[in-house]
Amino acid sequence: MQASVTGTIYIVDDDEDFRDSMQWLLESASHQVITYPSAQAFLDNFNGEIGCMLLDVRMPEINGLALQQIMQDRGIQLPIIVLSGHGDIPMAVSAMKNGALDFLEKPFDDEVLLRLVDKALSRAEEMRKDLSELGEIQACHDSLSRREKEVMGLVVVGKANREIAEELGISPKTVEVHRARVMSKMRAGSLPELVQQAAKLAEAS
Amino acid sequence: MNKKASMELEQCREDADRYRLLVEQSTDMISRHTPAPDWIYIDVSPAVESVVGYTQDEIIGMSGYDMFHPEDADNLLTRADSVRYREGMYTNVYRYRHKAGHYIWLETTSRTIRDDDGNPVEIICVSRDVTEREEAQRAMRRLARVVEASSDMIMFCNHDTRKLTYLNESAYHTLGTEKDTPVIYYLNQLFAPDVIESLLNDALDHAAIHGVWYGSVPMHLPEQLNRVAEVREIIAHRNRRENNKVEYYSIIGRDITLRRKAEEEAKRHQLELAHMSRLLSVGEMATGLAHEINQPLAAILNYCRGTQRRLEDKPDDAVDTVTRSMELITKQAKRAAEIIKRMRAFVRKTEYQRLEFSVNDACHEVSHFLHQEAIDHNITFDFHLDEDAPPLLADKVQIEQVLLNLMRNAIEAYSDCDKAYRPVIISTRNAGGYIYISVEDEAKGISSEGLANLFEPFYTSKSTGLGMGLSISRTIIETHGGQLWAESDGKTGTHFHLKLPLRDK
Repeated sequence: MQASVTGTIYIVDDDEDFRDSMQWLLESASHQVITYPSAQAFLDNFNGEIGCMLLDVRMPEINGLALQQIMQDRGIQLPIIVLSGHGDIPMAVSAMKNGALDFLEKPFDDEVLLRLVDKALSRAEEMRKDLSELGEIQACHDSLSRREKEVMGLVVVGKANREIAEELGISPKTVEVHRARVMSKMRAGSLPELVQQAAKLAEAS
Repeated sequence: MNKKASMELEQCREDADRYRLLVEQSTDMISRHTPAPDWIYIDVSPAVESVVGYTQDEIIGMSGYDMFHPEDADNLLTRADSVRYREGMYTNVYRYRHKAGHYIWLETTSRTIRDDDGNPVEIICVSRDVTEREEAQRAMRRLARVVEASSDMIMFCNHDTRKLTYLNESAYHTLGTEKDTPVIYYLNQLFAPDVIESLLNDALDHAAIHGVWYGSVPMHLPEQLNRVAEVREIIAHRNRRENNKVEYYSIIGRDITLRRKAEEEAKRHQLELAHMSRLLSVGEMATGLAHEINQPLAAILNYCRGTQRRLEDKPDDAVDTVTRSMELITKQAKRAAEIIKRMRAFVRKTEYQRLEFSVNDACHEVSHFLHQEAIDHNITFDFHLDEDAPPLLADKVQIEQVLLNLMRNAIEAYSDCDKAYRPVIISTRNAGGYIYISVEDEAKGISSEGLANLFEPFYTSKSTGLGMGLSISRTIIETHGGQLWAESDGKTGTHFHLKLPLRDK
């Protein structure tokens, strides 16, 4: 069986036997798996590649909740599926509130696990796409001149050329030229597209 | 006057004088009384003063009857036990009032003088003070009653024949016979043959030489096998008249059936309490234990499903895949079974049983039991074990229960403490015939007030739990002849120490 989505599954669990069994199961579904015996081991060795995380909440020293917090602080963006044992539901709920994708109570059905893993990896792919798209928009935006950026800012809030000319103290003709250059440099086919790009930039900043 | 008659008269006078002299010199009181009911003194010898305190002049004319002790006054009339009759003479022993007010014991022999018609004319009495003799006899009778009524078994045993010549009521009771239907016993019937050889003969010899022996010799009672008794003391009695030879022994024993029963009852009660406390501990640890068992079960499920997928995907590698996965599954199943086994061994209700075992191993085993709790509380177990510690002879389950209690307390001591490094230090030491075990934490410690109440039943600082753990732990250690105590400066941690004798003390 072939995994429908790509990406590495990072397992963080202090129980060696359990880690091994997870690897056995996930590899049977052709997933790539890397395991870590502790939160610290993950933080020391994570290679930054795309994937998702299966995280045990109950661990000595740094537990699952704490690792989740550290990852947020360090900007490590991995979709997290929390694994909880018997009686750990309150901890799992906290993890969900802190942005975990889902949680599974041990022992769990493999179908459910694989479905969740697929969902997490798809989510990771989306996040990667979003991230690269934003990067492109940002690069285009960076190539605009100061005046062009000013014009773009006014265009996307719906102002007419005449109003922009008045506001900036330049001729409407000049506004026309800047506006065409903005559309071209931003590779925007239409005004709504430019508005969307501006929104994404605003969201990221 | 006829010379012969006057000589006879002279002879009579001389005789009378001699008799008077005899009467006057006698230490016995000789008296003449009117007949009943008053027995008024008519005449009395001078000894009256030393016997009853009155002078002759004082007492003559007084009623003899009035001076009798009220309980003894009618002895003669009622022919009481104290009165003997022989050839017209009565001998009576009775209490009689002294002039000073107290009573003395008198033994009086009396004869009634009658006229020709048989009517009583007067009574002649010879009385003797027998107070000392009578009181000694009474003391003897009281002693005999004490011996008879004693709750100890008391038996007299002939030195030569070893026949039991006397048994008190307790002895008869313990031997299972009635005093009314006595059975003849010999000392050797009451002991097992090897005990006679090894203990009883030595005890008798010791008593014969030193007069008395103290100790404990178990008795073996024929047809009374449910009774437990032992001889505690043997006194040898010598014949003082004849060459000082040992004549017989007083053997004092005790029926300890009831005490033994009470001891066994107490022991059973303690076992039950300990068992209940173990059940409670396991109950309190249920979440952790469930989690621990869950791990291998989840792993087994993963292996099974992973294997099925592999078989669907690559049926050619079936044998290799299944072989490998069976190994992995077996390991996990064993792991789960091990956890259950450990728990069952701990909660099982056991009779008190002494086994030889290593305290170091016991410390490790108990820490494994607390594996999950230690993880949840970020605890590090730190062992300082004396590798030369000899094996301990004790009830292993109970000692492990104590260790579990102490380690759990140490772990829980950190619950209101924000230290990052949380060691529970377990050390063992072998010194002076004792094994010392210490369980120490570096949390906040216990106040001196808390320390004072620590081992009281139902004393607890936790929101859950009954507060029986330490109380039961101390009972367990003390039953093993050891001690359990705690030390704390109230700031930087608590140390629990216990010591157990390597040999029975």
